[in-house]
Amino acid sequence: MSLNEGSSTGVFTGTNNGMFTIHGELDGEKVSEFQEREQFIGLFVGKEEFLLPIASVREIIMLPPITYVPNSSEFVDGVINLRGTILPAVNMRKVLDIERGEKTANSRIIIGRYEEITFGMIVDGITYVVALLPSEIEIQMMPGKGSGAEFISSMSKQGTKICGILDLARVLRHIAGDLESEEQGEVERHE
Amino acid sequence: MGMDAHISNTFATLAKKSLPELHAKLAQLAKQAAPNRAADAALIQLLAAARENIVILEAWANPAAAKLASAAVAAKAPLAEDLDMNDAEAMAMLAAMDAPLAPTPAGGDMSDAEARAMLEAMDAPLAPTPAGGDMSDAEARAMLEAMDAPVSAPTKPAIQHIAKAMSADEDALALLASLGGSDTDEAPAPTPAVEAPPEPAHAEEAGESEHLEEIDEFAKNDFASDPDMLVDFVTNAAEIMETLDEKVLQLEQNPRDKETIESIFRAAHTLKGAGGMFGFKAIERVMHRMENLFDLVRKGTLVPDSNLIDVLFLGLDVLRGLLEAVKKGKPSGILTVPICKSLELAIQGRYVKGSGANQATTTKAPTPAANASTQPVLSAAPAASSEAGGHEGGGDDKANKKKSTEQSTIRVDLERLDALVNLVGELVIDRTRFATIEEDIRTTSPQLKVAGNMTETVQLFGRHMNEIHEIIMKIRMVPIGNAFNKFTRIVRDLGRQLNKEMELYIEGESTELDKTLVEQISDPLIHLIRNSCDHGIELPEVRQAAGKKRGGKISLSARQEGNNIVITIQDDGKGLPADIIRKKAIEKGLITEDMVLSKRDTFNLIFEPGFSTAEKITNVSGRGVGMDVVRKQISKLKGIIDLESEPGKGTTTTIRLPLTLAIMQSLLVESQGEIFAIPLSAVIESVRIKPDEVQYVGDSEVIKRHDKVLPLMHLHDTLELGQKSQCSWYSAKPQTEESTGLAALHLSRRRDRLYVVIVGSGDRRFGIVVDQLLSQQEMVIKSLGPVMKKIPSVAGGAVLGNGEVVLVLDIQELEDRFRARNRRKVA
Repeated sequence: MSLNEGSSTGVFTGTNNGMFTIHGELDGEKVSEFQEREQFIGLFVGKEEFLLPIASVREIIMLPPITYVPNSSEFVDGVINLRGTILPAVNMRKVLDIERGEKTANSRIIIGRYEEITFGMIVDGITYVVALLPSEIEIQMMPGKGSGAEFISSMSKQGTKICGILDLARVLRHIAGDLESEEQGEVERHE
Repeated sequence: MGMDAHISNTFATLAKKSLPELHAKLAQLAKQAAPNRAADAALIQLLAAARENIVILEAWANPAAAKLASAAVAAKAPLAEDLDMNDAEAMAMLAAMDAPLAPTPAGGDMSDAEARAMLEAMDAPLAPTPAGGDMSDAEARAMLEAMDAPVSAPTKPAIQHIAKAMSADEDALALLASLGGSDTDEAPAPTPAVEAPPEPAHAEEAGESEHLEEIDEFAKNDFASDPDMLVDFVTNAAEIMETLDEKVLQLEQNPRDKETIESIFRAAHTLKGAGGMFGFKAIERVMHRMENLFDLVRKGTLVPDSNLIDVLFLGLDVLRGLLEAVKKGKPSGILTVPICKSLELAIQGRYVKGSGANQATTTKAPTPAANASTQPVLSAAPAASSEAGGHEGGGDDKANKKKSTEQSTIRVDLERLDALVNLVGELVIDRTRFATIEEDIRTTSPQLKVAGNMTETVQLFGRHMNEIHEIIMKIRMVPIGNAFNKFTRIVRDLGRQLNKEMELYIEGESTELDKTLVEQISDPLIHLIRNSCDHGIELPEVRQAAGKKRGGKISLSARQEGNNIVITIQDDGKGLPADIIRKKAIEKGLITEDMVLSKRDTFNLIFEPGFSTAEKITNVSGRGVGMDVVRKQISKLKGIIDLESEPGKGTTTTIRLPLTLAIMQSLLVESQGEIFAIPLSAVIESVRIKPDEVQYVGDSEVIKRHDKVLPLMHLHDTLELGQKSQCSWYSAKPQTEESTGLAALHLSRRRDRLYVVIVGSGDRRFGIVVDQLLSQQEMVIKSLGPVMKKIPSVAGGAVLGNGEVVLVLDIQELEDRFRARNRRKVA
């Protein structure tokens, strides 16, 4: 199996693990690696841009009518109907501690899935899908505070733009933790 | 003398040589005679005479045997006094023995005579000491002993021959057993004594009784490892067990009812057979002994009394445990020996009466080893007769099968059914959606021809949908009687345990209810019935002193009222002690001493957690599981519970349940622009009132309705709907001009009219003030998703025809919340 997509100037070098790296002018860059790229979806919450691993996204829908559920978690705006299934709609602005916003034409709901839990996340816009190389992802805990610092497990440093990558497990844990006062068992489930 | 001795010796040797030959000939003759129903009386007489002579010869040939026999008689004579055998029975037995000796057989019936011949043949050893006119019990016993003794003497082969001849023909055996059954209680005892040795199977049986050992519950075979077959077995067995429970109770009421005992016997036999086929040895073993008992009852030998019924129930309980183990697929470790012994003792109940059998049967099957060993010979005759009975039963089984095919039912996997019910639920929603679209088309463009077609189609679709819905709902319906049946037994057992006389009357057991509801209503009902038994019904003496009948009456009834099932439990006991309840409630701090409560409110205190009316804790009730659990369970089923009681007259508990849980009729209401669904099962009525009808009691608003004062709750207030805009940023609906106009209209209307939905949760009733009553709809209630597990006051969500989600309110929780808020307000 050989792959030689590089330009004529490319140099093929085999690596230990059977993967191969092509050096050359590809995508306007000097070095490009055909390694396992991970795909991410870019989204806006407020004016900030975040990335979400596509593996944890089931689908993206237009904002349907949301039914308000009194006395539920403060992060949940209400529930929606996804083809007959009722799902909670999580307000990502609240989760990420971003100022209040309203429904716009760009508002979407990302249906995410973490383990057995499916839920909707209200975002203020979807940008694009990016595929990142492991080397372009820096695993780093955000020090200190800031919008959604605790939900960002790593950063993308592709190009000049730095985006936080959301960790769905942490988001869920946070929401569940909010429910903790009402129901203890819930937290253990998510952890 | 010496000469005489010599002659006698020679004679004896000769006799010994020729005797076996004679025996063989005789046995052959007997064999031929037995199947031949028309065997004439002369032949029988001849046989009898021959046997008599042989026995005399034998006695002569072996004088030691005779001496042995008489010694045995002497030794065992005192035992006879323990026997609970009356003279009449002994005489009847003797008469039966003597009958064939008479020149003209007593019974004209040929087969009867035949059987008597057999009996007579066995009784032959008695002949040397002919029965006198009047025999005492001791003498009768002696005769029986004498019959036992020769078995060890040289006559043994002779008896074996006869027995073999007999066992060769089952008819004869059955006859023999039936004869024994109809004539005397003692007959089964002599028969096994003679018969047990030759029949290997029976010998094993007899041996088993002496030293029963625990056997493996499972001996898995091909049948048992086929899961489908196993499921069939388990479901069938469960059905049979239910039938048995029910019928055994009927038997107690009506011990001589032929049909009841026949059906019990059939059921027992079927289960035994199936258990054996699958290799569930323990089941087979216990069932076998029960079958023996049933057989004796069937033949009239045993008359079922409460002791016997107790043993039978114990046996059924053990079987249930064993079946449970089969279901789980691993042995339960239940010991079968004690119950087997109890059952065996019960078979001989008559013999050992007063010498421990009663204790053995009423207590939880201890191993009455002593009793067992004094009566080592058991059940061979019943076993044999049950064999014959089994064939009979088999025939009846076929008849039974025919009956069941007439009903023509089919077993369906519940999972599949549930999937179907869910899908139909979705279709019901789709229908609503279609209707909305149709309406849209009709109103917006009525000139279109397609609109007319659409209307027609949608209507037709709706009609079909209604039918499907109706049928699918009926599929899940089962008669509530399934849950009721076990109560008769509970009441019976409790009656014996508490020394009370009471009876359960069941009414409306054919009322149908959703299967899940039937399953889940059972526990609360058991609790309520136990309460009635323990706290309600008084001891017979107390009742008599109060001028009531000694026996208490508990009635359990079910009936349908619209979309509800109403179950009432009524007892004619002492009623609820309002003063004690009040005292307890004050002790527990549930109420304060100066609180004035209506009778009804006082009774309802017993539903509070941790409240027990039991002054002393018995093992029947008052042990932790309180009435609050009952109320919770009923609420979970969207039901309402109500208590009424009058001192000295009794207590009535009424439970109202919705017919089904899967699809729910709900009332849609609107409050501050939000739509909520209230389960119609909780709605008593909805009314429109003028604001000035609202009265104030302190801080709380109340209205008077049908002479009842109802607290009023504002839905938006209790649910804190005002917080919506703060909590939910994206759910704001776009404000169209139309909707603002409508809202203004509502607002103006709201000023002069209040819409109140009067609901009942558990035992309490209150009014919910809403802005609008919208419509009544069928909906499928769904969970709100994993993150939204427990939302107070919300039971779940439902999707409306337009795709929007509405919240279904949990009335019980709503009320709790309302009260909590009021309390907070006061404080």
